[in-house]
Amino acid sequence: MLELLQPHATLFAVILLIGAGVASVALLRLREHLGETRVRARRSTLLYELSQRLTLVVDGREIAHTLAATVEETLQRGALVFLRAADGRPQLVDRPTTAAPALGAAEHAAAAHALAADEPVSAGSGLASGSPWTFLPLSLPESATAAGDTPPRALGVLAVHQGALSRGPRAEEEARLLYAIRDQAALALERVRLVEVEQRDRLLAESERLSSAMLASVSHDLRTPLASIMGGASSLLELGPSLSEVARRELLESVLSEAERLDRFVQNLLDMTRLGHGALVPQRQWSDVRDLIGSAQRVLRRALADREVRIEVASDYPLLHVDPYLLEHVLTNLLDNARKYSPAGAPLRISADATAQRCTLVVEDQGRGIPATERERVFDMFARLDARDRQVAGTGLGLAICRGFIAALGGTIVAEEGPGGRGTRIVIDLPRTPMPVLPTCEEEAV
Amino acid sequence: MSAGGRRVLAIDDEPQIRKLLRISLEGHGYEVIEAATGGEGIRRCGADAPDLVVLDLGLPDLDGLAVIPELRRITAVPIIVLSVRAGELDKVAALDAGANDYVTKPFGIEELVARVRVALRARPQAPTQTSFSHGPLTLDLPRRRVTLAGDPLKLSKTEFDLLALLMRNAGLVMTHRQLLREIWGPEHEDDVQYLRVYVGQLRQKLGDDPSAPRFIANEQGVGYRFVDDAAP
Repeated sequence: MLELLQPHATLFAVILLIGAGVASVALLRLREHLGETRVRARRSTLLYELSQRLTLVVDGREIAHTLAATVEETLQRGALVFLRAADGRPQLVDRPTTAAPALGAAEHAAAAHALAADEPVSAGSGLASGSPWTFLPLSLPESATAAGDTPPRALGVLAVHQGALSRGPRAEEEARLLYAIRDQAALALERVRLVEVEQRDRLLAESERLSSAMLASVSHDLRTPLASIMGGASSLLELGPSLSEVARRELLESVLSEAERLDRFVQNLLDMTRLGHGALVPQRQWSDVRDLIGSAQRVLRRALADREVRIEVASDYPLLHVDPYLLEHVLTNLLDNARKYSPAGAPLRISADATAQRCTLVVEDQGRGIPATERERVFDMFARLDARDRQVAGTGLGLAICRGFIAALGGTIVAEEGPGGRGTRIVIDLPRTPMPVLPTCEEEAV
Repeated sequence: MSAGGRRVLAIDDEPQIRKLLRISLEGHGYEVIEAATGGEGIRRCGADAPDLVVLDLGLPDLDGLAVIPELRRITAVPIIVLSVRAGELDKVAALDAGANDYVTKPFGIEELVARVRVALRARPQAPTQTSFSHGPLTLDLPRRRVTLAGDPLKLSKTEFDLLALLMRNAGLVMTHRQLLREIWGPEHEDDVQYLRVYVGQLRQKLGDDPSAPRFIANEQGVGYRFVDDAAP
C-alpha cells in the first residue's frame, strides 16, 4: 500500500517530520532559553538586592556578615568570611548564627595563602586537600583598577563549604553567581577602605595645618615681645648714661610690659596643653566673681593702664561654684582681646547678671567687631580673621582656651554684636549652683 | 631705706634668681647669703642665723615643702616661698606647713621686697597692739569699734573678728584655712563659701572695690591679704 503514497505526500511527511523536529528542538531551546533568562533574572535581582544592601554599609565587618549571609541564602552552602587585619593576616569574622562547621588549622593556613597570594584555593586541592572548603580571595576584578594604580591586594577571603557539589550547567551557574557576589563584596570592601584612607588623610591634613599654624603663631608671639625686651635692654646697656631719664624709664617700662605679655602667652600655651590632654578636671571652689575680675585686671594692669574698665556686677550676683583659675584665665583672655581689638584708650565693660538658673558674664568692647559669619569661627584655634590680625599678636589661642575652659565648667560662651551695633560682646553663661546654708547672723559688735 | 643690716638667706637652685635676689635685696640694705640646694639651705640656716629665709619650692634635691618643716625645727624666722603660678596648691601647702608668705614667679622685685619688709616687721607689736589703722580705716580691738573716715561702721561680730584678724596681720597673706579656723573653728576650715560671703559683706561696708582694693586684697586660690603701706 505504501507504494500508493505519492512522492509529494512522502516529501510532505518528511518535511513535516523535519519541521516537527526543528520545532521541538526550537521549543526545547526556547524553554532552555526561557529557563536561562529566568535564572539570569533571578541572579540579577539577587545581585541588585545585594548591591543595595552593601551600598548602605560603612563597616567592613557588616560587609562580611552580609556577604556570608547572601552566599548561604542563595547557594545553600555554609560561608565564612575573613578580613585582612592590620598585620596582613586573615581574621575570621565571627558569625554566631551560622550553621557552618568550624575551621581547622589547615584551613586557616589555606585562607592565609588565598589572602597573601590573591589566589583561590579550591576544596580538595593544594592547601585545602582534605577540606570541604574553597577559599576565594576578595579582590577587585582587574577592570576595576584604575590605570596606574598599584594592583589592590585581597582585602579578605570568602570561604565556601562545598557540601554536595552540583554538576553540569547548574554548577556553572552557581559558580558565576558566587563570583558575582564575591566581586560586589570586594568592591564594597574597597570602597570602605578608600573612605578610611580619605578620613585619615583629612585628619592628617588638619593636624598638619594646626601644627604649622601653631608653629607660626608661637614663633611670632614669642619672638615679638622678646625682640622688644632684647632691644630695650641692649639699648639701655649701650646708651647708658647718655639716655635722658624719661627715655630710660620708657625703655625699662617697655621691657617690663613686654615681659608680662610674654608671660601671658606662655600661660596660654600651658592652658592649651591642659585642654589638649583632655583630662581637665575643674577644682571647684565657691568664688566671688568680683575677685576673679579683680585678678584679671591685676594681671593686665600695665596693659589696661590707658583706659577705663567699667565693672557692673549685680548686687545679688551669687557666689559661683567654679574653678577660679579657669574662670580667671578666661576673663584675662577676654579682657586682653577686648583691649587688643579696640582703639587705644577706648573703655571696656564687664557686666554680670544672674537669674534663678543661670549666671552670665559679659565682656564688651567698642572695637572693630566680628562679622556675623565669623562669630563661631573665632573660637577655633589659630583662627585669624584677616591679614590685620597678623599684626595683633597672640590672638590664636585665647578664645579657643576660653571655650575649652567654659565648657569644662559646664557653661557656654558666644560672641555677639556689641552695644549699638559697634564692637563685640562676649557672653559667658554658667549654670547656677545653689549655695549651702550659712550659719545664722549673730549680734552686732558694740 | 636701710634695713638695719638684716640678713636674708636665699635658697634657690637657679643662679640667675639668686643673683637677682642678691642684687635687689642688697640694694635695699639687706645682707644676703645664698644656698643652691635644700640641704645646703638647712645647713646655712643653722650656721648663719638669718633673719628671714626666701625659699624656692622647685628645688632639685628636696621638695620645697619638705624643707620647711626642717627649717622650722631650727628657726622661727619668717619664710617666704617662691613658686611658679601653676602651683597654687603648693603655695597653700607651704603656708600650712609653716611658711609665712609667698611670691609667684615670675615676680617683680618690688613685690618681693614688700613681702620681706612686712614679714620682718617687729612682731612683738602684734600681741600688745590694740588699735590698727590703714588710711581712713581704724579698728579699736578692746572697744570693738571700727570707723571709716571718722564715721562708725556697723559690723556684725563675725565681720569684726574677720577684719581684726586681717588687720592684725596686715601685709601678710592669710590662707582660707587659717582665716576659717580662727573665726569659725577647725570644723569649718574648708567652708570657703563662708569666707567669700563675709568678705563680700565687709567689702560692701568698707566701700572696697575688689578690682582696686584699698583694704582687702584677694590672693587667688590662697587666701586674703590686708593691704599694707609696705606691700603693694
